[in-house]
Amino acid sequence: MKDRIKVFIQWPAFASLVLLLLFLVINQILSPGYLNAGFITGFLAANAPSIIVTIGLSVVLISGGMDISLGGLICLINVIYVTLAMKGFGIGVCAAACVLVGVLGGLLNGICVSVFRVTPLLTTFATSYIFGGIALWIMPSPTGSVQMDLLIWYLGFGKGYLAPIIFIVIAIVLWLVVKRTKMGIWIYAVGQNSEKSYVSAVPVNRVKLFSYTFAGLLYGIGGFALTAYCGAGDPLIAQSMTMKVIAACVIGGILLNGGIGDSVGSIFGATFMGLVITTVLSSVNNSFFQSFAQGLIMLIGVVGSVVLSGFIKKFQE
Amino acid sequence: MELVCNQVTKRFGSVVALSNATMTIKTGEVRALVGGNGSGKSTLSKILGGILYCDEGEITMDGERYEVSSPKEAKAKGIIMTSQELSLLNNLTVEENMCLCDLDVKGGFVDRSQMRKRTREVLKLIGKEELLNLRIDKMPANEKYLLELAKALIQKPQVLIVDEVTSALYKSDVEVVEKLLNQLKEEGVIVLFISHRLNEVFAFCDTVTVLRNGDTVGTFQVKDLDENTLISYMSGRDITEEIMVSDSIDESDLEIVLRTGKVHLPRFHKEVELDVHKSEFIGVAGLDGQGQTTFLRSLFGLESTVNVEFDGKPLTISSPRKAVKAGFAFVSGDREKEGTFKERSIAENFAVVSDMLLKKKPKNIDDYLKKAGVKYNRCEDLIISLSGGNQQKVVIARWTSSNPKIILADDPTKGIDIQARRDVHETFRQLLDKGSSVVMISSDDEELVETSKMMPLSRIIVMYEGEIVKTLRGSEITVENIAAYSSGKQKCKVG
Amino acid sequence: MNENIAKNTGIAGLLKNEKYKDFIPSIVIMIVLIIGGNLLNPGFASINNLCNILARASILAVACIGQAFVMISGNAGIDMSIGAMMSLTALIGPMVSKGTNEGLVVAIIVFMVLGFVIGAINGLCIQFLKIPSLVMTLAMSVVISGLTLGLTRGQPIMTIPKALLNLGMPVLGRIRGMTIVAAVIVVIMILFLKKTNFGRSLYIVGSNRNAAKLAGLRVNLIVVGAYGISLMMAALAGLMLVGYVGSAQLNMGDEYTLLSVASVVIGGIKLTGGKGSLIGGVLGAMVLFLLTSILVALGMPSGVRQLIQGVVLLMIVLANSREAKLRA
Repeated sequence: MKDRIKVFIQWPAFASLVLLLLFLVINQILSPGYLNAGFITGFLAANAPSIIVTIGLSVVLISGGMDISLGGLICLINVIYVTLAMKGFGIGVCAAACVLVGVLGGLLNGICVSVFRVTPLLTTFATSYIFGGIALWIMPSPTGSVQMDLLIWYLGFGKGYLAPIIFIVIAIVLWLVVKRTKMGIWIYAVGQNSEKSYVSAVPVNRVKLFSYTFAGLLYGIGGFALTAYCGAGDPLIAQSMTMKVIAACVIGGILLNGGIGDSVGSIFGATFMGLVITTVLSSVNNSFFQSFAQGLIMLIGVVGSVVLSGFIKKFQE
Repeated sequence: MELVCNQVTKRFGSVVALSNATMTIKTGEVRALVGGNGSGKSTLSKILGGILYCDEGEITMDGERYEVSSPKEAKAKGIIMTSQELSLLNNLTVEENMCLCDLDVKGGFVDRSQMRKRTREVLKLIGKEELLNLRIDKMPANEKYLLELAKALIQKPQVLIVDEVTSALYKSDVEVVEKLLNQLKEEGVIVLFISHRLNEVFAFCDTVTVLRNGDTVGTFQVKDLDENTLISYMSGRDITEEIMVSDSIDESDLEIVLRTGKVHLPRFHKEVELDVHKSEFIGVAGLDGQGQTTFLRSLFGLESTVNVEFDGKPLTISSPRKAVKAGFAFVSGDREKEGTFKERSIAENFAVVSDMLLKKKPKNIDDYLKKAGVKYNRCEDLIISLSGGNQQKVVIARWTSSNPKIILADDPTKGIDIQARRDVHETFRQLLDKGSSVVMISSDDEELVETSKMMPLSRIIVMYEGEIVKTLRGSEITVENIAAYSSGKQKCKVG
Repeated sequence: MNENIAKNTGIAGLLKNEKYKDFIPSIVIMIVLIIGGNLLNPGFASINNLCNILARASILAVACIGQAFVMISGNAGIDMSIGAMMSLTALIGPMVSKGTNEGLVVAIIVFMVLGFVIGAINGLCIQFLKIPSLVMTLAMSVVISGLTLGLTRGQPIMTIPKALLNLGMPVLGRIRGMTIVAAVIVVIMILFLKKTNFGRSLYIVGSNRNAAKLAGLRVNLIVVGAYGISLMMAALAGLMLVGYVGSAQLNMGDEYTLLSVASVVIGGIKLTGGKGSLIGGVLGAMVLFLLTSILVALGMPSGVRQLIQGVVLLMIVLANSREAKLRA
């Protein structure tokens, strides 16, 4: 039993769980009874996309990479979905296109990072311009809408609970499957030390390529979910997502150096971020200072999680 | 089976790390590969292991050309090497680490029970079954090195390259390794055994190939050699040293520069105390990880705050900056990480302490660098245009130009060639003449013996598990004595 | 030895000289862009047009200085809060100055100090709490943007001091005032980097943090200082921006975060730190604005412009930001 507790505390996601619970309690005190069905369904619908994307990014981070192009890529995915939908294609075709675009975008990043050995941050910095540019090119300003069926299904299926949950579950299952294959161990190995992994016959380039492409796949799914939630096309829809998702991963205990962390932790991080945004809050009355308060809480979350993890580690030694 | 290296050459930029290495090894042979640091033995083993390309020459296995483009391909051909830097990953479990090169798969997923089974078998071989559930990062160095060996064994090698695995092992561990190697030999495996402990070479190996500064000196039958001959092959000179006996010096007459007081070594829960005299050379001997490095780093304010008595006055050292200002210098053997500023010029690398910290801009940089024996074109060139040894000389010149009262050197000659090494020792001697003191850690016992004989006033302290177990002076300073005390034998016949 | 001297003279020598090597791509691209721009759109290379481009590049050049300081400090340092700081200064600065030239002096001082303090907070969290620089500065940018929104109540109204507006006017021939201001700032900062102890230590610290610490340098102080200076420069750039634009829009400086990263990368500064010069960043800023102006002159929609910028950037990082091979 004692060992179980120790393992639980050592879990990289532990700090984020503590933060999340703390935040829920504070919220409960500030606005009692806010956790009702309406809140939860609304929350799930709005945050499923970023939770999925966070899982995707966390895989890249665990493998020792970085991706700041995800916002641009998801904008592109949204634009392509809506453009296809407006041309009369069905949901299936549009969704497949989303996933395809995500995978191709991830593949581009992966090729630059693994084959051409360009620093991940700069690669994805450049590709974020490329993805965002193509999105703006196709759709210079917000327009269009998705199929009505999709909107109704996403917000209404299973009393509004099920559709977002299905999306999230797909993402988690995909990651858990990968984690149980050779690739799963390799991703952690490469993230910890790519040279040592290379010496141990790990196909380092293939692993990097895979992690970006797999992330691209999840961005595709997340982008599809986001489009279903918003119901409209907007070339700048996800530009602010990059930062939130990176922060969510850090809060979730995923080291940017790689090798440490679990995607489950990133879900806590993403949930924390979502809660900050949706609930900051009835308690800040001055609406102009809400975004300041959100930023501050996010900053505290990031700092808190890093400091807490460090403290737990030190305490064990 | 037969493994033949013919005229294998490897260059890094302008530095020739290995030139025309030539040797033949046959089935069931345990071949030692010896040579000083930078002699090219690791380079050769990395070429065999598929980590480095070779620039010239060819390698054949059973007459077939052996050409691989990655460690993975080398492993497929049965050549497995352990790595001196360890290839274990802290974030993976022991069984994941052991099986990383060849993960078991069942139905698309990783087969953990099979991995555990294989790991348990191989751990039984090295007699460390209890490691199965431990975390890698919490293990002491000797267990990590044993695991590194186990990781190679689990891959069923046809050619096994053991690169300096034994240097961190205890005596009982070494016996296990010896038994294992004999067993492999009987199974017809070729073993290439790299070690700087010569007694191991004599104990386990059939033949020995000696490398010196990248050149192959030759291959010999171990039974035809004695230790002195081997050392003379390695160092390229006969070992007839004149011994400057310093037994008679009465230490109580000497001025003490640094009284460290009790310095706490957290990992061992022990305290170490040392007095350093003016113009004294103190060599710190011991196997890797016996607290030497922590001790030296503590004195430079890198671990936590320490209180010492320096020049007769109490001094609190809370940061390297304070130490430097008080007259300390610290030379690290890890050039890449702690020595050079590789994006900057030779001049900037040289001037960093005197210019930025002590506000004394050195005027004649060229003079200083020439005196330190640095070979370079212009001091505006980037420091990485120099060879490793010359880079280290620049780093040392950085400190000598600041006129330190005491130099703490943590294995300062690691990985540099013999000539550069001698230049470094010579620089230290000149500092001693000027009244500075030097405390130097070295993982190479011979270096300590050799250096202490150059110095007018010297002693060697041997550390073992966080304690100074012995102080050697004058004629007591021999490789045998250091080796004996380093391995923890408290009672050893001196002589 | 003689061979080496021969190698280092003449144009071939210039190309091989480490000091100038990093500038070559930017200069070549600039010349190509100016000639190409003039071919595609006659009149592009006119003095007036070039001075106009130079004026816009000046703002970015000042913003780049900060980014360059942070990147030189090494350890994958990057400052993503520059744009937010510029927006804050551009919107609140004129409010503090109350529209008068005397007030402007106060505003400049106040915002330089404020910038330094916020930047130093970034640096402190990065150095002492070990928060990755990218994450810390991104999060800080949200906080700063939120502050701007709160203080302006979403509707910035202000009178801009005359002295600031005059920055957009030609003073020396066709050269705009802000180009001169930027040039002065750049020269001061170059001297600061080259001649002061802090500046030289910054390169050393950026090149190798551990070795710098062992050499007794105040690594923490220098890194924190670099982040402080970064936002201090962003504050100046923000004031220049509002002077040039002449009116206030929310988030008007935000795009400069990415632009500043892009320019220093084009200018040859590496994320690994320890090298690079401000001139490189300034050249990078000019390349970016030349490119943008040509694309605008050709009537390209903004999406295509962004796409082309992205492709150019990718080419540049493919050429100069490669990591070492796994196998030597």
